[in-house]
Amino acid sequence: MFDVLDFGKYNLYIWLSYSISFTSILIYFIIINARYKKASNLLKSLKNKNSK
Amino acid sequence: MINYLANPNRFLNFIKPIEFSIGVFSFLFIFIGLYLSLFNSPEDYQQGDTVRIMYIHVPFAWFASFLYFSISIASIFFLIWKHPFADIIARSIAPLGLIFSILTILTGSLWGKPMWGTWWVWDARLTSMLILCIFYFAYIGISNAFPRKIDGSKPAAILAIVGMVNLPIIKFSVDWWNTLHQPASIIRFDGPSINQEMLLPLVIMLLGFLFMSIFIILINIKTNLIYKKYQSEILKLG
Amino acid sequence: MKINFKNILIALIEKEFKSYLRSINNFMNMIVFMIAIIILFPLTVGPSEEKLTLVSNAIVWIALIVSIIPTLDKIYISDFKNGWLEQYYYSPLLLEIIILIKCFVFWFFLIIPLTIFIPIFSILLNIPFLIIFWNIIIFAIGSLGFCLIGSICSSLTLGTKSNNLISPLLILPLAIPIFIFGNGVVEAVKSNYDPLPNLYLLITVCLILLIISPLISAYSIKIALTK
Repeated sequence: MFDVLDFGKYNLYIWLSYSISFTSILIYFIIINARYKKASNLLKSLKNKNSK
Repeated sequence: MINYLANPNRFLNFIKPIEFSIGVFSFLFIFIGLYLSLFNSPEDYQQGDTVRIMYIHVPFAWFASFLYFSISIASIFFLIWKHPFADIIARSIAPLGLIFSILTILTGSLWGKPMWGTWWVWDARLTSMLILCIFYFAYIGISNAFPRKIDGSKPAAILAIVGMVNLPIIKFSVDWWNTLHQPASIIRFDGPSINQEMLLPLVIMLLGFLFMSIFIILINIKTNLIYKKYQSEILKLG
Repeated sequence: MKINFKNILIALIEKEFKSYLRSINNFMNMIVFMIAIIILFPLTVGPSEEKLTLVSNAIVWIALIVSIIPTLDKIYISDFKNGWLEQYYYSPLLLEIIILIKCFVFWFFLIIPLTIFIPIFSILLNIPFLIIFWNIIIFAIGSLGFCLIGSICSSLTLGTKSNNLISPLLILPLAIPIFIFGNGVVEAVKSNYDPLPNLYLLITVCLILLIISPLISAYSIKIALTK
């Protein structure tokens, strides 16, 4: 079934493997950046409280 | 050098100027590598265009096992010198290694379907890669299984060292047993047996993945350090 | 009673044996589980003999292993909860030796009795007598390795929130060499080759575990106790 589908020069397997791997890495990258932002905000707010 | 960088504050000061350039390098190398591997590399005389999956499959596989190796080195450092920073490094590497090992299996099966005719075979190298994936799962699971997170770091470190037995099996499985997976073609005693035009995009991809994994691990280390600081601030408050 | 190594040893074995006698429920659970698996397989695969002879050996093995795994990670948990492990830790006897004795007692009183069931199930599944004989030998040796692996895993997960989830993940990858060499022996017998090389490899794996496992378990028990 997959061999019938034609994606120009390359077959579906190549596109699938490249897109899956790079999107998953991108999603992970976004997640860890969000975690970093969240953590640094938490620390900042706590430090403000402590200084008061 | 290691002694100097083992202090978290000095480490953060050390990576601050070079961090951005590592990110830029990783994007640059991966984009060049993507262009070269998808549009500017020759077809294989046996495998046709499908050989292009190799340019991401091989870096994923190499870095999945290399990251596990670095986790176990950090764990040895942690168990012998009991330095908490080594534990933070090991914890920050683990999720990335898990993702890499899952993607190795995924791209491998996407490569295997058109070439071998099946998604999966219970061949030595594939099975040992699956076990590496399970070890990553177990490492992350055991390091987060305790009520206090710090308690999990020593059992996880022991597990990481025990799991190191698996790495040589992965590396040499294709040479020891005659299996469906093709033998090593880059690191050999008699020099690489791979075509020169294919080697260049692969090397550029490997460099890109190296910089990318360093970049991601640095972000994870910074986040974990912030959480550690946060906990000590809470202790001061109480 | 005089306190010497022999008396401590006998007292330890007696205590372990009594604790297994009191928790005989565990043992009955294992047997019920095994029987359930043995009955379920022919019902799901289909009763035709050709199909069953291909997988009959695997069925017996799966029944044994799956019924052992839930008890494997509970070698230390009750001792940890009522404080026995601390007493062991402060006793003059080395912790490694106590662990070795505990593993041996666990193997001898809980796993070895299961070998009685191998011939019964094998006859139900039409396995030839020669393979039954080899199965019993492999199981007796391989299950010792299993107990030693279980000792590592249960000592690593001491004090976790819920250790049921991680332990199978820990046990399976470590136990793979035992599966491979055990299967190698049976395959060699089936195709009339010499089964001894694979058996020796199986024994080697178990001997290596016999050295490594008490060291690792003692180290991780010390970690769990000093938390």
